[in-house]
Amino acid sequence: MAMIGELLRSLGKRPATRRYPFEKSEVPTGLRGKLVYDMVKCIGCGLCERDCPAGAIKMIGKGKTSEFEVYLDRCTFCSQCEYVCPVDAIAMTTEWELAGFSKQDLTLSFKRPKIEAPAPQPPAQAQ
Amino acid sequence: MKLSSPQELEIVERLKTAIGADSVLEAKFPRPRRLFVTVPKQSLQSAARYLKESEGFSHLSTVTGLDNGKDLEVIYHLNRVDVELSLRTKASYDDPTLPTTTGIIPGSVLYEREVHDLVGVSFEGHPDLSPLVLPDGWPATLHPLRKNMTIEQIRSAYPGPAASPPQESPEENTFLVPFGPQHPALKEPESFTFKVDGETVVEVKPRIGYNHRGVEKALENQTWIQNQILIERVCGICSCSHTQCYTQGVEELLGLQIPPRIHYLRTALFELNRIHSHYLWLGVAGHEIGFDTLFMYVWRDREIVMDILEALTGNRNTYSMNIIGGLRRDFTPEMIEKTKKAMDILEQKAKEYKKLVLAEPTLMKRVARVGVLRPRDAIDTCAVGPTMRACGIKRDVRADDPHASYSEIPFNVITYDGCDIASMTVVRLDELVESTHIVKYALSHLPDGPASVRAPRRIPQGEVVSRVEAPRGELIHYQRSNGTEKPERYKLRCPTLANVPAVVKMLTGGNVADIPIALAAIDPCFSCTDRMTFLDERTGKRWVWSEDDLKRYSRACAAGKVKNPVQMANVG
Repeated sequence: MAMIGELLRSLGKRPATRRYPFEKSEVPTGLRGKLVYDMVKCIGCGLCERDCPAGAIKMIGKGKTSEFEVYLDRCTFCSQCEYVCPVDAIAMTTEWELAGFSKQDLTLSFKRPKIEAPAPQPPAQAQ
Repeated sequence: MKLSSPQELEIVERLKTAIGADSVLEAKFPRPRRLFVTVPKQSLQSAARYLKESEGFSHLSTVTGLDNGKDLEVIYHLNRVDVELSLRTKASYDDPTLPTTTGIIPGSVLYEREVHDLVGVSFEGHPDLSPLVLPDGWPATLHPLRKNMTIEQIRSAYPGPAASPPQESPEENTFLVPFGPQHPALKEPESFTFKVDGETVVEVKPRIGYNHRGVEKALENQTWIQNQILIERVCGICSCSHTQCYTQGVEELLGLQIPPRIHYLRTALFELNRIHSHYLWLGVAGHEIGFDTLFMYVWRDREIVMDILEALTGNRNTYSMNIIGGLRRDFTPEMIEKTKKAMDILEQKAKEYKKLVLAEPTLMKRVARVGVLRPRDAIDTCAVGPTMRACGIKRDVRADDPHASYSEIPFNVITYDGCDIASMTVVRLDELVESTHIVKYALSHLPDGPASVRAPRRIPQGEVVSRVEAPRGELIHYQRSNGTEKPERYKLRCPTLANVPAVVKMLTGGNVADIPIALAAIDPCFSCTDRMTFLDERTGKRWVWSEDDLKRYSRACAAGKVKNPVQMANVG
């Protein structure tokens, strides 16, 4: 009987739960969701691939011509890649509905923009 | 920070006179409250006995087993209120045996079994060295944490599950009741075999390790940077305590000066995490005793703190906030205000729930004088956290070994001396109120400064014992670095393991109907898929109960409809 006040107050109220998927909860602006690369900014240093604890990032190629694949089924949304990126080319968006029916759906591919590619330069000297 | 406090020096001097100066091979004081002492294996028992009986080191946090490439080290992490003493001894590969300490510190039973499993040190005189965390049927000569074992070898070594070990036949008129293992999605699946005489539990045998994920081996194979993410995933509820323990230890290894703002922010985050964990526990406890209304309301209110944490960190539970050198994000002024307001609401709610718990007779009948743990047993079994504090023993790492900014923030260590589940409930409810005060204090007195400082990627050689007070009790990490990017050995002991011997004491002598709430009382991650098999010895009849059946039975017992499981089986 100690709960009677709470119970009476709740009588006229709507349920505390939401009718997902018809009604979606608002997410805070800082939510760590799907990550995106800004391939214009990316310098291809590879730190993101090296530090990713889940092996969710694959760097294809080297340096400024590299491309990236991100496997959302492995990603833990820890934002270590975003933190370690020296040129802020990685951002975590607030997109959180990421379920898919196949591994293809869960693989993100980031390629260099073709139009802005400068004239081919002599390859940088190997360090 | 090479300081040696006289108090710790005196302990070593007295130990030398007690067991002989030749028997103390090495003594190190990396900082106040920390002491590393090395003894030869023949002096292990006399040193442990002296430290416990004459110096008051009654609590054994854990036992670390370690393969350093030359020999096998075993470290007993003993502590008393003001000092953490790591008693180290060594065994060779050719003769990996040590004398057991179970006769001196009963709480070492499970820890020595774990070391036997993982490092392959045999403890002479140990009552039961059967596998604890390794599966039945694991080859006896393979020890996963030996340095010569690669992950591939471990994967290929396990031949698959063996046939269940034969169950010992109980004495006449007793049942053997297997309870568990639990749902694999939860962090600490446990299995308990109960020997029951009618309605009374006469003996309890725990078996854990059903979902041992090999995190310690994984930590050795990843960099310190990657590990700060992996360590958070050890626990799905008190994730923040692992990162807190990890980062403060690594920062100590680095000798990094941490600005006070970071400590205050970490403290606030740590306590917010405790609030969510204790609210979760209260809901689960309500559910276990069949008071689902309480469960619904408590979990509705828990969403307040979950939303705050999500807005502060970017995720509801795996915050990824604590990193080596500080925090990923600073708290914004708007969020600080919002959090303080939410703390007022949650404080009010916690007080209301306390009133409710004490006033509601249906609830009190199910928890008062149930799962009794005598203070003597709590000390002997090395219980931790609210389980210990409900026995009137004032042990709290936040006060005894202050981490983050706890030394600057006023708070009370809550103790009750009911020694039962009612006390454990009230301890947690009062801690909720304390936590809201700590968060408000930390956020009101936030110093200026950066939210993170740069830390090198390479961690210098050394060893550190790091402790925090997680929501479930003392959490201890032992970190050993060899100067590379990866740890040499990383040992962690979660509070639930420390409380398993205590819950065995709580269950023994109790009723079958009290099993769910007594197990839930230590706040393990309790799953709802456990199944119980009953075997009536007299008739040979066998039947299976799910946990729901067990709960139905517990309600029927409370209502006085049935007296034992046989009657219940006949009823429904």
